[in-house]
Amino acid sequence: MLYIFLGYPQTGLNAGGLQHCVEEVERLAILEHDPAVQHAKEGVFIVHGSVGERQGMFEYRLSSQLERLGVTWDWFPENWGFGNGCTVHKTTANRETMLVDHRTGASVADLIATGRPLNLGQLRIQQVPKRTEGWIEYEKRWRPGTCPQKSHILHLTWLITKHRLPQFAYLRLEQIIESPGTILHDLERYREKDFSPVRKWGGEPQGLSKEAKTLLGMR
Amino acid sequence: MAEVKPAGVEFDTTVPVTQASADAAAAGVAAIPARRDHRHGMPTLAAAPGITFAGGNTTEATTTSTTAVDLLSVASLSIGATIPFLLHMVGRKSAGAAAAGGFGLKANTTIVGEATLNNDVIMRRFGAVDRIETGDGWAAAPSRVAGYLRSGSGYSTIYSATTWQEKTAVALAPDVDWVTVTITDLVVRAISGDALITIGADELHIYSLAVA
Repeated sequence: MLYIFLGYPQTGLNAGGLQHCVEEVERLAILEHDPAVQHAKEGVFIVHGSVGERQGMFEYRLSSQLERLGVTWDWFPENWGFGNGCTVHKTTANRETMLVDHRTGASVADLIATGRPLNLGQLRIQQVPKRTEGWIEYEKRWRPGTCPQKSHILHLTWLITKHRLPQFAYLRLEQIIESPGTILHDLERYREKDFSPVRKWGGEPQGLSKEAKTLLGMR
Repeated sequence: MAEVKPAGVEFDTTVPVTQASADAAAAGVAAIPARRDHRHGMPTLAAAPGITFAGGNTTEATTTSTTAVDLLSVASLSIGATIPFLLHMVGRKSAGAAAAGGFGLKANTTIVGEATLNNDVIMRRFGAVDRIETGDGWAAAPSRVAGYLRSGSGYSTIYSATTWQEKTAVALAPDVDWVTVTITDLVVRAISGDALITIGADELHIYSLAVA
């Protein structure tokens, strides 16, 4: 069975560390590791070399946090591969922007392309999000109205277990992955390799200077 | 000029509330007028859990999957068929078993280079030795035009903590022709040769190029 959670494990564990936690330390589940078993959006496949034979659909469960955020089964496009074992997935979506004349909405690029002299002093230039083909496609994967409207990273953590989890095991797993501040049991049983460093993502300018905010009339 | 208080009207001196997220509207009960220029406090917008915006926390993508899995992706791309692009990423393998690992590539929903223990897609495959290995791969995909759809090449070096290193030319689409529609998603797939090995990938950057 496939269990999908929101974010990367808040305990700092990576996929190998989470697997160690689930199978060895807290013994919450037995994960599927058969190198012939591959889970995909369309079902579970038995893989022989480069050929996969479909065995049918499998059960899956998305966490309530994911559902609340707007990530449903439809978020995963056709042919999405879940593999087996444990995975901490990362998707980056970059929002492109363009410069427009605030009063008319015309893009500065289009105005320049007319070939006529352009008095930049008369324009009030504003940077606005661009609805590119890629962004429109990406937005469709979210429940309507829930896709964040700026550049972002979405982490998802999923595990494929051999059996359905009892409720106590599911809740503990949910806590380990989604709840900040969760304390791992038997911390001494983890190795250095079980954790991944966490850092800041600098996808766009981090902030505006006080002078720039004043110029823009922002508080 | 400041507005003048009407004769006989006493104003409420209570500080306006700071609304909480999802507060419902209410008519109120106090029979005392408020000043028309009063300002309510606003709650700080909390980031949705699990979503990272610029300046927020992030980490690498990792897997123990022994069959190909979608590990790391860049969505919202708009790379037209005639636009070449460059791709760069870093990858690593943990110790844990004497087994290999590798990467693959999917364009939209088409797996153009499958993650196997033998393919060198984007990056050279990791060695079947029980040790930590790290490396990176650079590759370029040309314009995707009919007759030239099995293409894309690059270079990768894998290092271990000792002096060992392996340098290899890598492919992007060794298995299937490129799609000729606009690429909106590029997905790095991965496979681990043993569930005791963690495969990691990060810093996938795509640069589309101007064409003459």
